[in-house]
Amino acid sequence: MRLPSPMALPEFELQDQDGKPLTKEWFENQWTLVFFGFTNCPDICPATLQVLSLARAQLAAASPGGTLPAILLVSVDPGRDTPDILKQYVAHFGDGVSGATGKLDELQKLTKTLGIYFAIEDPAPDSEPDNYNVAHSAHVVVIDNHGDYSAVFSAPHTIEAFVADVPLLMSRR
Amino acid sequence: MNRSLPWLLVFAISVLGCGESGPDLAISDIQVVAPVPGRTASVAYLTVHNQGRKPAALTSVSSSQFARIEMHATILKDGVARMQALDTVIVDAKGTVDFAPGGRHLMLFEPTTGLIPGKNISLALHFDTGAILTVEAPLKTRIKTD
Repeated sequence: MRLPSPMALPEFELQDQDGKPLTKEWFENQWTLVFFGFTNCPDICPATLQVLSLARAQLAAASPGGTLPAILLVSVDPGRDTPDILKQYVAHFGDGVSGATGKLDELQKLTKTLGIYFAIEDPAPDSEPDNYNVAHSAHVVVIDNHGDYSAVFSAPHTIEAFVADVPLLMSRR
Repeated sequence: MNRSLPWLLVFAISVLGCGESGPDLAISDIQVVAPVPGRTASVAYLTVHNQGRKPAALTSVSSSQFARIEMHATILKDGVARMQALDTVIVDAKGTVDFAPGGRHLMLFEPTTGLIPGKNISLALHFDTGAILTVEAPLKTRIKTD
């Protein structure tokens, strides 16, 4: 779904998978598909990244040398997802996939603007302190080549939807 | 998730002489996926078929290859995904229950042996009827695009 008008991102600072600052300037001059999740998520997070990376691969095959969207996993679990962990994780999903995380207040600056919800849940009784889940929005946010929030894909996600709609979005700005 | 494996039907084994007689419970479309490198939990998906005249409850899953297996569901409500632990999963009479991406899934923790792609993983599904279904599937990895 395309937003009626693109929305500027706020000022924020996260760290990418190499530990380097990632600010709103990172999004300029590229289209980015952003998913908010965490690496200890066994199901919907790796499944969504798999859909995004496979869709990107199909777009690459359909248009060799064409402009492809970047994919960014923003971890909303900074307590466990360090840049090193993110680097190893996103590498599995191929080229064009990056990771970022940061302090909770910096994450919230970004998630609030993008309408993303996340909540770190308490560990189950009698379990280890780091054995917890994180509830999070499942939609994929599109940041356009001006660095503005311009569209959103709602879950459940399919490769076909991204392959069909991302080129259309990219052609309109 | 590409369900490329053929149907694998496993019939119920009555335990301790109690439980349904005849092949009422079956499992199909089982997939076991290794964790993304650096992560620890494998995940499994499958479909449970209850061809009997009474509901059956899946109460636990065990394996000699994992110290702990839990049943969970991803609940997607108002666009927000949450995980919910499941104590039991009821399979209605003449019904099926799917464990599939974005929904119910098995989380497999603490492997007791090395996780080698292609190596068979054996899971035992325990039901309240006393039936125990044992299924096997080769370990798959999440698809890497390059």
